[in-house]
Formats: sequence, C-alpha cells, structure tokens
Amino acid sequence: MISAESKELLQGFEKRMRFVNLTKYWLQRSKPTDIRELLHNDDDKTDNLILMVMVFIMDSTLRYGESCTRQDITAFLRELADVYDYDPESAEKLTNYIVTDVLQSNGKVRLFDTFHSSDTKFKDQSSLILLDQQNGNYILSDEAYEFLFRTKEIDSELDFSVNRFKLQEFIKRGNYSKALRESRELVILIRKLKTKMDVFMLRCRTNITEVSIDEYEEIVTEIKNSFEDENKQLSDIRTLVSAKLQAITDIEISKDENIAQTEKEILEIIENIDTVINEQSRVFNQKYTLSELYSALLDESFYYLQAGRFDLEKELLLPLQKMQLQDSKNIGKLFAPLYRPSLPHIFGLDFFYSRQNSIRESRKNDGIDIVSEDNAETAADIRNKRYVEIIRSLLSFAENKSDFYFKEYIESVSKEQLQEQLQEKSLPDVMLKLYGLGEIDIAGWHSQQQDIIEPVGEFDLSYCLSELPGELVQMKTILIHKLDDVITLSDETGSIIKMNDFSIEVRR
Amino acid sequence: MKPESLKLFAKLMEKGYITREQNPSYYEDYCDTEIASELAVMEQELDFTLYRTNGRLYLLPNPSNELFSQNNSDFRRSVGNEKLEELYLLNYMAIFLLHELYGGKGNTLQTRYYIRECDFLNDFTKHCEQVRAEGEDMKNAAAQYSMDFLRLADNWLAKRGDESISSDTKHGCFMKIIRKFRDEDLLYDADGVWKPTVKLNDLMPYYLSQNRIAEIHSILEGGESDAGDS
Repeated sequence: MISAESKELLQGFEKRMRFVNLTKYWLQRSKPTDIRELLHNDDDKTDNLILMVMVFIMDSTLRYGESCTRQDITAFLRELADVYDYDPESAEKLTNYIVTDVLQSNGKVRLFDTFHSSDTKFKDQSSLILLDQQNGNYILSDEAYEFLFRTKEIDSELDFSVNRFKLQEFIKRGNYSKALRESRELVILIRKLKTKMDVFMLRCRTNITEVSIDEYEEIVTEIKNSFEDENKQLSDIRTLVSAKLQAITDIEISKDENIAQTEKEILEIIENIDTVINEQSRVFNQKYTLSELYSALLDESFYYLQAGRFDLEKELLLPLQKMQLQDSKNIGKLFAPLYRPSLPHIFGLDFFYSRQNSIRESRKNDGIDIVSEDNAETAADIRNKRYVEIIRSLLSFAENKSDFYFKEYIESVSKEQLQEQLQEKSLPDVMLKLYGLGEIDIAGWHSQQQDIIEPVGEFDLSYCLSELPGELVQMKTILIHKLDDVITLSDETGSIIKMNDFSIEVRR
Repeated sequence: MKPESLKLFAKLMEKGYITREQNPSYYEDYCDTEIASELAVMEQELDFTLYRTNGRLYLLPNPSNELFSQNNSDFRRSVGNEKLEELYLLNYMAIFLLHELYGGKGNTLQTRYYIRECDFLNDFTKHCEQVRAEGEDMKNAAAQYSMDFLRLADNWLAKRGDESISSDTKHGCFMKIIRKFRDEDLLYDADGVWKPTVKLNDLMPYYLSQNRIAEIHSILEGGESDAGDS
C-alpha cells in the first residue's frame, strides 16, 4: 500500500514520464542498415543529427510562418554532409528517414506503459506526436516544442504573460536583440497553443470518451487567458515598438551599421507581434469551434459512443477468413456507410431506357450468347470487326506521330466512329488490355507470326494486327502509359464512361 | 413537406455529406426542428442514417438500403470488373487497411496516422504468409480458414512485385483499393503517404459502434443478399 506521503510525492508523475516517453519516442527508433551505414554506425551522432533537424524545423516554422517542407530539411541536411561525412546526395534519404521513420514513427501510434498517480496504476500513455504535416509543411507538436525548450531554453518561462512582460521590458530598455528573442518565443507559444487545440480536436474526433472534461476546461481557460489578458497588452507593445522604429528612421542621416541592425530587429519584432496578434485571434475564434465540437460530439454521437466499439479484427477480419467465395458477394455491403450514396445507377437516364431492353443488356454482360449458334457467330464477327477497326484507327492516327495523348485520338475520330467503338465499352476495354500488355510490340509480332486463329469475339491483338494492311504495321513498337487525367465519354444510350487518359509513344 | 427538407436531402445525396463551411445555408436548415424531423422520417423510410459530427452532416446509406447503398457490383465497377476471386481479395484488403489504421484496442482507436504503400504491402504479405503457414501446419486449419481464403492468400503471394498497375501485381491491387478510397473521400495523398480524411476519421467511431454489430453479422452470414456479379 502506497503511503500518503509517497502518493503526494508521485502526484502528476505521469507528466514527468510523458517527457521521458517523448524522448524515448525518437530515441527508440528503427535503424535500417542503409541508414546505419550512411551515418557510420554511430548512434550518438545520429541522436545529435535528429535533434538538429528538430531544432531546424522549430526555427523554420518560427521564422517563415509554418513553412518547413521536406525540401527545406533536405537542404539543411545537405549542409551537414561535411560534418557527418556522408554524400550530400543522401540528404533526401536521411530526410525521409528522420521525418517519417523517426519523428513520426512511421505513422504508428506509440504506447508507453506509464504510472498514473491518480489511481496508482500503470496505463498506456499515447497520443504522443512529435511532428505533424499540413499541406506539405511540417510543424512540431506542442509537446515537441516544449521538449526542445527544455533542452536549452530551460531558464525561460513558458508562461505567455511572462514572455510578453519580458518583451515589453527589453523594448523599453532598447535591448532589441533580447526583445527579438522574446517576441520569437511568443510566436512559438501561440503556435503551441494552436497545435494543442488541433491535437485536442483530433483526439475528440477519434474517441471522445478518451477526453476528460478537465482537459477540455483546461484548454478553454488557457485560450481565454491568452487572448483576453494579453491581446491589449500586445497591441500596446506594438505601438511602443513602432514609435521606437519611427524615432530611428528619423535619425537616418547618422545611420551606422548598428542602427541598421537595430532597425532590422525591430522590424522582425513588429512582424512577430503581428503574427502573435493574428494567430491569437484565430485561436480564440477556433475556441468556439472546439466548444461546439466537444458538445456536439458528446451530444450527437452519444448513442454510438456509449455503446462502445467492436473489435475490427474479431468481428470483421476473422469471419472474412472463414468465408466461402460464393458468400463473399455480400462483402461489398460492409462498406455501405463509408461509401457515398450511389443514386445515378438507379435514377440515371440510362435506368429508364435500360428497363425496356434489360434482357438484352444482361445477356450482353454475360458475354456471347451461346444459346443460339447463328447469333453467336454474328455477335463474335461484329466484335472482331470492331476490335480490328479500333486498332486500325489507332495505328492510322499514330502513323505520323512520335507521341500523343489518347485524348487527342478521341478528338480526331468522328462521332459515329466513336459511338461504334464505344459499343459494349469496346474502346475502354481495348485500351485497358493494351495498357495491361504495356505496349503494342509490332516488331515482336512480326518476328513470331504464327497461325492466327480467329477469336470468338474477345480482343486478340495478334489477330487484329494480322487483319491490317501491311503499311499500317511498319512501326517497331507503341508504348502505352497511363495518366491520372480522366476522360469522360458517353455512348449512344447516354451512359457515362469514365476512363483514364494515356500517353502513347511510337517508336520506329 | 417543406421544400427545404427535400433540397437538403438532394444536397446530401450529392457526395454523402455537407459541411458548415461549404454549405452554410443547408447546414442551418438542419437546425430547424421541422426540417430535422422531416429528414428523420426520410431516414426511417428510405433506410439511411444521418450522422452529425463537428461542422458536418453525413448521410450514410444502411447496408440494407437497396436504393442507393453501394454493393459488390458497384465495387466491381469501380475496381475494373474483376472476377469474384479478385473482388474477395480486394474487399479483404480494404478491411485489412481499415484494421491497420483503426485496429486499436481499449480507448485508442487510431493506430496509425497514415500509411505508406510499402508498410501495407509488407504487413499484408506477412499476414498472408502466416495464414499459408498455419494452413499447412495445423490439422484444424479448416476450422479457422476457408479453402477459398487460403486460395486468397496464395493469390496474393503469387502476385508480382513490380510497379505495373495491373491487378497481377501487389502494387496494382493496392492502388485499386487506394483509388477507390480516394474517390470515396476516405484517404488522401499527403506527400507520398496515405492519410485518413476528416470523413474517415469522423465515420470510424460510427462504423465500429457496437450498435451496428447485428447489422455486420447479418451481412457476413449472408442475411442480406447482394446482387454482386460472379
């Protein structure tokens, strides 16, 4: 049984451990062989390097307004190549390792068994994030900032008003370089608060039951204090510092190097104060979103949250592993709530038209009608001809070109031709199959021409090539690359066909 | 019925949700009690669930909804007319992907903030190798895995490792799932890794709610027949 004295001693112990866990987060990292080799198997030096990158990210987000991209980090690591004796070209590889594997732990949530003083039990301490990424920019989390402070700026108070006070005092005394440092810290503090809010909101969304009302109140109070008490004071400091700048500008005639430096510092101080004031207002406004989120999540989702969660592995993965193929037709429905409503297939114009010929439609989908021998032959012939026509038309278009986009081909064929080629989605099917092959290897086909068997309505490239006049099959090979752009076509029934664009390269 | 109710319903049908920022007037309409109660009637009669999170209102088709919920046929259309064996694999991979992201136990739901292709391929390959090994070793493997599932694992392990987009490669299969999830606004490309969207983060607590367990069982036991193609 733990004594009252010891209990008091250990009060808030989890907060201390959080700091230790945070250090462990990046110290206990994966160590791929190639990275070890690159850094000469020196773990200590690697620790230094990682911390340097963190300091760099902190500094960049502070200076340039939250803009620290992978490229910036790579450039920084390139500078350190001499110190660490690695090839500057490896900097990108190191960036990926440090940013992804180390500082973000490959995206995995890390859990640390931690003693909690409130109930004297060990519980998982998670939600640790060192680095977050927004639109390609990396920002350190609230806790990472705090961690970095404690590694150097341990003497500086983390309290917002203390920093603001120091800033004011330094400006009054004309100590601009120190005032500049304070103004930078204010920027960091307000960013910390912003990140703290973002992380809090993410946690609410992920699992509201994990978030206690105390945490909510703490963050709301913190935001309120930072805004209400400080906003006016900061505006006053801004006025003060602007007046100082004006005074310096007025004595421009006697301007020497020191004054130029001071002017530069003051300008940065003003910029930092503006950033703090702006971000403060933004954070304060966001407080309403946060309050609403918290209450809305508690209120609206209470029914679902209260019921608890089922175990995804036990309830979904394991039953799927016992499933017979035939029953797997149902699996699609598992995703019904996640996928958007799909009305067009039912209410689209094609639905009303297709009702009248639904029997024919379904037969078409099933492939060649094998019930009637005569019809089957006709259908197969029609398809064979269509496929040959598609390849003929494509090769004719490619004849005088070295490369082109599939889209250009579509634009070049007449409407009637296109409608014919889109029958039974033949054109998209052909392109997909050609893309699967990767190329139309005409030279290869020439070299191993064998007996061609007439297909029964399926696409056969060899057959199509053999049906074309000799002058059309003179090129060596045609390479097909898929692009991300999507082309939208409609066939004669009005059905929309979406397919990717391709870039087509002709080699002779 | 108020015209606003129908308009809101139509708007929700467009992409499955509205947001306060993008559709402020619709969002406010839902705060009107009369409109909200009319929507609740539609919810009941048209077989969907309205789910509100911060600043977003979602219309989630129930799996039993024959009118506008997506089923295996829709999935088949969106992944390129694969055979049933491939659809089984792709659907299983999709659930496995959700498990990679939200397989947390206890209070921690999210286990990853994002996923990289190489991590997923490694994990899924290891999973299939383990299934295969157990399938060979254990006498009672049949109780744990169906023959079709063992074939699914074989099918995956036989896939090529090159970068071709064809479904004969691991990359090709992964991209089919990713494209589907991206089109459904569930994942997005964040500087080379795949990150859950606000929508997916919003919906997972609902998706994994214990209240849905009967519905899930019903689908898995074949209670709700699906018009999927073979």
